Amino acid sequence: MTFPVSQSVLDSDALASELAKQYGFKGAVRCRLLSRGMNDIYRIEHANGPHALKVARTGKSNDDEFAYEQAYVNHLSENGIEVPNAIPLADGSLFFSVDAPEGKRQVVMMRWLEGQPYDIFVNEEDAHRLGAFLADIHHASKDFKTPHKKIVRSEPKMAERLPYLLDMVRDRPDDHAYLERAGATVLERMAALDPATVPSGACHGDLQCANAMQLESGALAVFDFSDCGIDPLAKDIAAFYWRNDFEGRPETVNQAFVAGYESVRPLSPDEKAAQPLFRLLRHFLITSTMAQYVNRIGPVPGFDKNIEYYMDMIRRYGEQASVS
Amino acid sequence: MVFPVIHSTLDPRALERELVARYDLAQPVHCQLINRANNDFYEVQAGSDRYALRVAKADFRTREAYTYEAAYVHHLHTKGCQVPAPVRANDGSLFFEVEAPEGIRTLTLMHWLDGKTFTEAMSADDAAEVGGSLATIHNAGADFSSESARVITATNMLDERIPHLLGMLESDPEDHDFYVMATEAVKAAYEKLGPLNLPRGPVHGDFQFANVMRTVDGSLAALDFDSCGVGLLIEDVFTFVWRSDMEIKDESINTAFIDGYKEERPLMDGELNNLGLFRVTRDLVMSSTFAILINRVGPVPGFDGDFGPFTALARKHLSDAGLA
Repeated sequence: MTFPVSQSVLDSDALASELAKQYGFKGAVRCRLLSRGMNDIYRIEHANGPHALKVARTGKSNDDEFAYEQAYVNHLSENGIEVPNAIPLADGSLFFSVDAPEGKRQVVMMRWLEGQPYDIFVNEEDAHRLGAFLADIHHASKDFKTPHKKIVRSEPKMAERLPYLLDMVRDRPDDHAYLERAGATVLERMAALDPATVPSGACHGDLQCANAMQLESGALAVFDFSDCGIDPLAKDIAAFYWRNDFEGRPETVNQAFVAGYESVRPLSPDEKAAQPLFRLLRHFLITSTMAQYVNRIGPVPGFDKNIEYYMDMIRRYGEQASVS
Repeated sequence: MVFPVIHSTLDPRALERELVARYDLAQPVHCQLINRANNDFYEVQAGSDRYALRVAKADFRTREAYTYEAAYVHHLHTKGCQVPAPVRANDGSLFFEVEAPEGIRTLTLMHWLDGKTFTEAMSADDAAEVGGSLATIHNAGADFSSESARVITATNMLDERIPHLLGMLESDPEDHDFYVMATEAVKAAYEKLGPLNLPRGPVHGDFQFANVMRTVDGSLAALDFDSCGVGLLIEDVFTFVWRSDMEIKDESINTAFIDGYKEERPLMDGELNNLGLFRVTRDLVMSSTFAILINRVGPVPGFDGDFGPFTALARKHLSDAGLA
């Protein structure tokens, strides 16, 4: 009997053959694995130029959610946002699936973006530009319509993953009790937000500096829409906070990002008031997610069993959000 | 049909069940993936006991090779060397196999060693001590014999691996042709070594600084005997030098390492007269090895598909050895 597995790496040669079949390529196709993490990313070389290929992890999205993601990315592309839009298959669909040992994995081939990914240490000027870019994305998303459905669902994900984090601090009763209590408060406050004053729409879900790049043309591009979906627009800002906090950058960088965002789409008073809550939720969600996935993908850079930093962040931003 | 895969991550919960069934371990047993690369490593907590579990990549070595490795490491342990000695299962075996989607994978449960592995920041004093510890391992292995000896021959490794490298360099004729020429030059030089009867015996096979640990009691431990076998002892010295050349880039570290080695095992003239050859041979072996690995585990730190640093080293050392 085949031993149960939690994740696999597809055979590159088999993948190249499958791509040739699905996309109707003529001539040689070569796949090179570029990164292996939550999703696997390949660079595809063939006669019609390089493309990027994402092999999604099993269970990350169902087919309808994955279809939403591709439709959203292509909508943004049609509305002037530089994105790695999906390349249609020979039959016109935007992705296909393969049966991996751990379950079904969706595969999408995308436009290759040639440019310079943002350094994780962005300055205030870059942050302002990226903030404005996020607001541009939100504007371009306004008229996005699709029969497919994808909700970001940070709160249920946090509720589902928090037990893994609690298990990691099982020998630390103070932290355990705090996380339980603060986690419940965050979920209550999120549920109490007024959708009229904290509006939702299609969001990127993870627009941090590492998911943006400057193209050779000088334009900004954004990639990795794995976490996109319907969510409070103002909550989309929190992904940037989290990464900036993680890299130890000053608060002025976050302020510049928000100022850039507001230069295009001003936040309502309630959206502004909810920022500390969104930031705390992001720290809760990412830490819980890492705790859950550490056994699937191995240690995440910066996240080993020493979770002092993460506890410090949750407590710090809990205090700012008046969650104790 | 299940899509072909080249690597999988075994489910940690299923591993826990497997270990409980096969070993006399304290309860409860908890597995956590701590490193995912060529081989996967899990930290196993069994009651208050800690172990390391290595899940070797599929079909990489023969059963005889794993038998050799386990017996060799066990032998070194009985000789007083600090090594991750394999734990004997209830049936007396020192490893077991499971059928993963990509093939048979061999699992070895080992005693946990507490300490810190060396980094590129190692001092010359450390290097000398590490060099001495390799010679101690060689001396301790002198009376080890096994029916299932795995013979390591650098030229055989080149025959097997260089074609993968050349395949990746098809679009770079200059480097492609250099590696063809360098491989031929090295193989020709090796043919002249035969009459010298250079010392052979059990070798670690990958004694780079990251595979050496300063344990909490201050002694040195050698880790990762995955590449061990019977070969030229002097080649083992250059497994350290290669990694040092790639990352430490300080000749005084190499000199200290070799001097430390010679303190415990003086080198023969035939070894001393061919140090340049062994150095460039290791360069070629590692360039070709990474070419094989790149599509299995994704980019390796320091190797993102750019052969520049690898090739620069090989060119310099081929010239230094008088083989260019």
